Amino acid sequence: MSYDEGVEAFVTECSELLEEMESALLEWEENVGSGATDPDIINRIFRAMHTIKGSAGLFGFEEIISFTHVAESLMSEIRKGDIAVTSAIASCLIKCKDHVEQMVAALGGAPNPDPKETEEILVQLNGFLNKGGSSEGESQGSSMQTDFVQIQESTSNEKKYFDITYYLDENCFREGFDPASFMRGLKELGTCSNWMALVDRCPNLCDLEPDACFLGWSLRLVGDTNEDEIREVFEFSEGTQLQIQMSGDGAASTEQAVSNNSEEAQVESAPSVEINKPVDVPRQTDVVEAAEKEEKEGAKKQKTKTQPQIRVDAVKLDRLINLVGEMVTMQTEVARLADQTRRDDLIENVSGMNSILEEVRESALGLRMIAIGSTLEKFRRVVRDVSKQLDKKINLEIRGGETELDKAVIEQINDPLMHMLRNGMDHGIELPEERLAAGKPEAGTILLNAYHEAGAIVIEIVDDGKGLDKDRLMAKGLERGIFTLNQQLTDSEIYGVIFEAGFSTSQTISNLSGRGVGMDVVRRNIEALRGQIDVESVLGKGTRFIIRIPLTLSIIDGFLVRVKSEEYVVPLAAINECIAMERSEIVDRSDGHNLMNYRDEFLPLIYLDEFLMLNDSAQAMADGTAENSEANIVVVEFAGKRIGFVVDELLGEIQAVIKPLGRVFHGMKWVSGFTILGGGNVALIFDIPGLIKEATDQDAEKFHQDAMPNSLMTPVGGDSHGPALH
Amino acid sequence: MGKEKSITLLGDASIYEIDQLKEQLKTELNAAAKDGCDLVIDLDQIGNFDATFIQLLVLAKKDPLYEDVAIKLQGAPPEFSQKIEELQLVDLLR
Repeated sequence: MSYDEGVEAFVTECSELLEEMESALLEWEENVGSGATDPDIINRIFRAMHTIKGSAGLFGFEEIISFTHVAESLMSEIRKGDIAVTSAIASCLIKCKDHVEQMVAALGGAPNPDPKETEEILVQLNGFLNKGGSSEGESQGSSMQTDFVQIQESTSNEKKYFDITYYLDENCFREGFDPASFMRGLKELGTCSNWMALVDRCPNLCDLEPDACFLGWSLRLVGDTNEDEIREVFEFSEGTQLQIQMSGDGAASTEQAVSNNSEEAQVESAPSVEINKPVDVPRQTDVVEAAEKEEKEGAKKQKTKTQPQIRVDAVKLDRLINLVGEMVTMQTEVARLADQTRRDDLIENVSGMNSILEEVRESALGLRMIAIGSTLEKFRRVVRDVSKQLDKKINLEIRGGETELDKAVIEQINDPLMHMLRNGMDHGIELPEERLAAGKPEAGTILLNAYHEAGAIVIEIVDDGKGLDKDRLMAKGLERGIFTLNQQLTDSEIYGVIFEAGFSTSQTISNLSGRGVGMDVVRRNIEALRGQIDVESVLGKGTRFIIRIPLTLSIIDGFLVRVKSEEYVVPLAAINECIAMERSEIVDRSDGHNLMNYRDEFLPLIYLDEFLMLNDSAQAMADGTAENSEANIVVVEFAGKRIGFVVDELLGEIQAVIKPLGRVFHGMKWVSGFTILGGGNVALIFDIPGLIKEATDQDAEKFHQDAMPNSLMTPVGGDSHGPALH
Repeated sequence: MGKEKSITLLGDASIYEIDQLKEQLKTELNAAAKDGCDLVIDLDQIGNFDATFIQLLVLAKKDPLYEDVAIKLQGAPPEFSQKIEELQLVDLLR
């Protein structure tokens, strides 16, 4: 691993740890009032700071080390029970977490955090430390370095002599340690003299593993310190062999390997004498060791339950998925060629290979699937901050965090979700007094709910706020020319205007939302993921946004159909069933629209050749010039809407590798991409929501042009508000 | 003064290049030992370096196989001198 890769891994690790820390802090903050503090929460926060500090040490990021050290020390005191938990401490630690996040981001080129802010937070943290947590952080500041020194534990003012010998861990260089950093650590504890490099363990040049460390040092340290603090200098280099001999009052000597594997690591030649230590006061190192022990034990327990995990570069995964995609394409061609040979043994083997390939594809795609929970959990912080800012009480409920989704989709869904959540908090949830007056609980609730439905993930954002005012939306829509007078509209269409660019009914503009910038972008972003957003609302009760997004963006199970001489792929997840029926059974209404009897209900039909302008098969059927008397109908369903597409031939299931279309096709909302078929032909992949919308829009247009009173779009199930598909 | 063979180290001398550097140094030392000459290592052009490189030089100096080859360091940048001082290795690399 190169240095840059190492730093990249550090940044990733920090981001995960800080995420974990934030979640623990928010949980902590919520429970602070109850007086009960779960030790596990404190440990989680402590571990995050401790690990970041340790990892920063590998790279010599001194600012991060110094800063996290202070936060870690505060957490250590809290763990010991020396400092009582207050909401002020929790708030300060949240700020602290944000600050570390900025420091880490600065490693990747982001602006450095404001040094004044660093100073302020440190002053606050030290305030808590110095005053046993009773301070609200207004302790008057000293410099960062002074504060750092202040918290160092000191058991006596008497100067002592320590003769120290240490051999660094063989992996010390590989783990990124610089021997000089240990020396600097020792120098901070007192005056060091008689330094001597020890090279007696060094092999000959030929036998040298050049990235292993064989060096050791001996020195005398004089200072107002103790053995624990000396050992702490080496705490992150497990396996370092350390011998400390103390002179002066109560002189004794001790030797200890920092490694847990102490038997192997002990210095063989030196005598071992245990220093008597007070047992009632836990030491900083004890706390650290205990945390590490706990962590290791926890990890051990975890290992027995779960399989080990490895971190893989996302680029490598993408490459794998692409290669699997290519293989799927090739396989289709191989299967076609095998069929042509009519050799049973070959066909059977190819079919076997196909099954395996299907599993390979599923497994490869599964590698990129991650639970949406961590993305949703991040919003807890947003809700906390925004509700404070707005003086509202808002609870966030998260359901379905374990629902998995393609990593690429998760990354792109974050911003739209964030925007909608902010909007909900700002405009949806009422102020506590308004809620009480309306007979609602003082605190509003926002629910983020994720679940799978027919090859798509559905994410709902539900609030129990004031709901959308249909009349006001109508009025605004008319004012802006989005609607026309006497236009019959469904609720969905009326609510849909909030997604129009620049649309806002908010009477006040806040820095959170209300400028009408954003919801149109939200819709655009979701549509770019081949998704769809719907809104339902009840005035005074709340609003529900429903986002549907395909699970993956790369390979899908599809159904191949032929329309005239062209082949198209219909995503299998959207298909209810395929039906072959006599064309004569199709009800040809006088307005030119077609329906079929589908399980005792009328199902609207769209002739795809007509829609695609390949031919007018409806006319052909009427003229008796249709290809055959049988119609093949693919019944698809999306978001509760069902429609039948008439095609010429049902060719069967295929695995389709989705290739993006060029910019020239951007206007075609009913196509999500294309795929290469076995014979090298190209087939367009239908975007079912887009296709339904486009087909119904065309139909509605036709309705307006023909001025026919009974359009196909007249609701099959009966919706008094206007047009809707069954 | 005996015969001298000079090499100039270019580029990085850190853990990422240390395997290659070790092999190169061994080759040069073997050649110098064979020719009965000292080896002068010019560090003027050196880029990044770290403790692995310093350890390598220490080991080369104390390897009995090359006891007849005097390794002389020249043109060391100030950072290099500071580092060996900080690591208390000045005497070993003198």
